[in-house]
Amino acid sequence: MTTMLAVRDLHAGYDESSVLQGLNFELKKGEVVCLLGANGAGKTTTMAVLSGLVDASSGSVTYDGQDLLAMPSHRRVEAGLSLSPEGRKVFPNLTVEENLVLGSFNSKARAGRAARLEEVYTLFPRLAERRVQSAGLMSGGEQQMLALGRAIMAKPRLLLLDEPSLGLAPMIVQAVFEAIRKIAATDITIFLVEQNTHAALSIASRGYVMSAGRIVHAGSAAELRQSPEVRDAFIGGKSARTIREARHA
Amino acid sequence: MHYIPQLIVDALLLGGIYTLMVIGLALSFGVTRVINFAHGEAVMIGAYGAYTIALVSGIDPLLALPLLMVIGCLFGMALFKVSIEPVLKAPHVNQILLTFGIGLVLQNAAVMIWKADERSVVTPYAYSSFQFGEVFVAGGRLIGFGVALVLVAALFFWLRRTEFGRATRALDEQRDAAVLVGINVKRMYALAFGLSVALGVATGVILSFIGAISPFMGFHILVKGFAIIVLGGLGSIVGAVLGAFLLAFAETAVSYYVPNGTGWAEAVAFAVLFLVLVLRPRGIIGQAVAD
Ligand SMILES: Nc1ncnc2c1ncn2[C@@H]1O[C@H](COP(=O)(O)OP(=O)(O)OP(=O)(O)O)[C@@H](O)[C@H]1O
Ligand SMILES: [Mg+2]
Repeated sequence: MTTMLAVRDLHAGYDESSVLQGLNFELKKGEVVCLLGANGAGKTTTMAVLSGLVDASSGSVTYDGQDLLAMPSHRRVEAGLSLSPEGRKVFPNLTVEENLVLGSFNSKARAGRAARLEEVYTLFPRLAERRVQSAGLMSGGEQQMLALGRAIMAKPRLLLLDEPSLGLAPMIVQAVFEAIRKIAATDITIFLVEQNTHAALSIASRGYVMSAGRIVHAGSAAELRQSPEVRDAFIGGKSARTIREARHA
Repeated sequence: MHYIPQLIVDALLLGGIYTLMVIGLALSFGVTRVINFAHGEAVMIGAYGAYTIALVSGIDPLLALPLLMVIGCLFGMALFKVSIEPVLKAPHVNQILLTFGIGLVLQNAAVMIWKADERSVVTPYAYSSFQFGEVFVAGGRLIGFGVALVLVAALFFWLRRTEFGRATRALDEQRDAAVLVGINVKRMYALAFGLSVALGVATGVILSFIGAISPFMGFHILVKGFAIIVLGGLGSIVGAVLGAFLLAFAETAVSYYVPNGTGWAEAVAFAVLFLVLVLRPRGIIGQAVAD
């Protein structure tokens, strides 16, 4: 398998605080990989750097042979890198369909937009029923579906998902993960951040565990399920928060 | 009481022009979050552009309008690139000082080029008037209103139906997500700013034939613009339209019912600014209709 994304010694942070402190990991084409870790580990910051919302201070990211950090955000989207962000961030006063159509704003995704819209509606029939509704008026689960759908509209080759299960009822989590499973069955590479370790390891083939801005553990899904660091958190599908609490205990 | 139909018609005509005057300000603020204190000067330059073209070549302001708007848009985009883009991450006060300074430079340039006297463009329609029953309508104002209506409708169409219009609304609502869907934010900022200048210029072209223009008109326009935006809730384009008509009605009513009211009408905007900022800092319409 060829390498899709290679992150080397990545450092990044915000004005006062440095968050990523030498991050290293790799994704191969077509893989589904999850990134686990306690609150504040730097998972969302990692996603923000990859998508260009936050600048890296040092290190390198190679995406499909290109220097990702040298590309402005909109070029990254054109190159097939698409993020469904933590907290969904839908456009609240725009309709569901406008949100989705905006997903394929980038020049590479505009051709075939109508067909992809139908695919998204097939994947999430709920969105089809709500297509003229303002996105901000929908339930959390529906907004999560919309954020996922919008990310798919960009015609991604690497899909980044930041906590798609955040704040959702168990039944909705199941529906969302079912959809992610279907997306994974295409040739789209998926990098998934989750606190819901159980759900994440059920669709990822392998994963990384992050703590304080570094990868502290890596392994196949089966290994991670067995690993002492993850296992405590994993039993009963409890969140990664438990890891931290267990460590501090 | 027979003033009432006349009052309504006058206020509506004025409200249309105010809408055009303020919508550019609301657009550029909504997208870039920079308040353009030089917007009044864009209006002023548009007015003098129309004046100069009429003086030199005899071309009617309405014919010069499209060209002036295009020049205004390109000038606005260039101005944004070289001056405002570098301070986007600076504190608001720096941005305010910058746009305020740009306004002063334009104002002084206008005094040098055109002198400080008041002027206006005389067109065949400017002083014509029509009578509908008891109501009189000045031709210039009617035409100005019509042009404003067309331009505002065109802007709304653009925002609703086009790729870049949709991206503009997206950027207005949720900046991070706009970045994530691949919108080139700096390019959209420049475009929104250019469009807002073009709309300001168009307002000036209309004002050139319905009243007197002077290099200092920008300040009054800015105050009215702020009063309108504050009435409608900062950053909401639909709110700005409602605010424009509210101010127009208030001013027209004052000029009708207060003795020597025409002078006092000019103070309405100041009064509105004062009252709203003291009593309802989020605007009367608030964010409920944020577009
Ligand atoms: N916009 C911001 N400005 C300043 N600091 C931030 C910002 N966003 C996050 N941080 C800080 O950076 C650190 C890492 O946060 P990040 O959101 O990347 O963690 P996370 O692993 O995604 O956590 P969670 O599981 O809670 O989502 C935290 O200490 C957080 O407080
Ligand atoms: Mg996070």
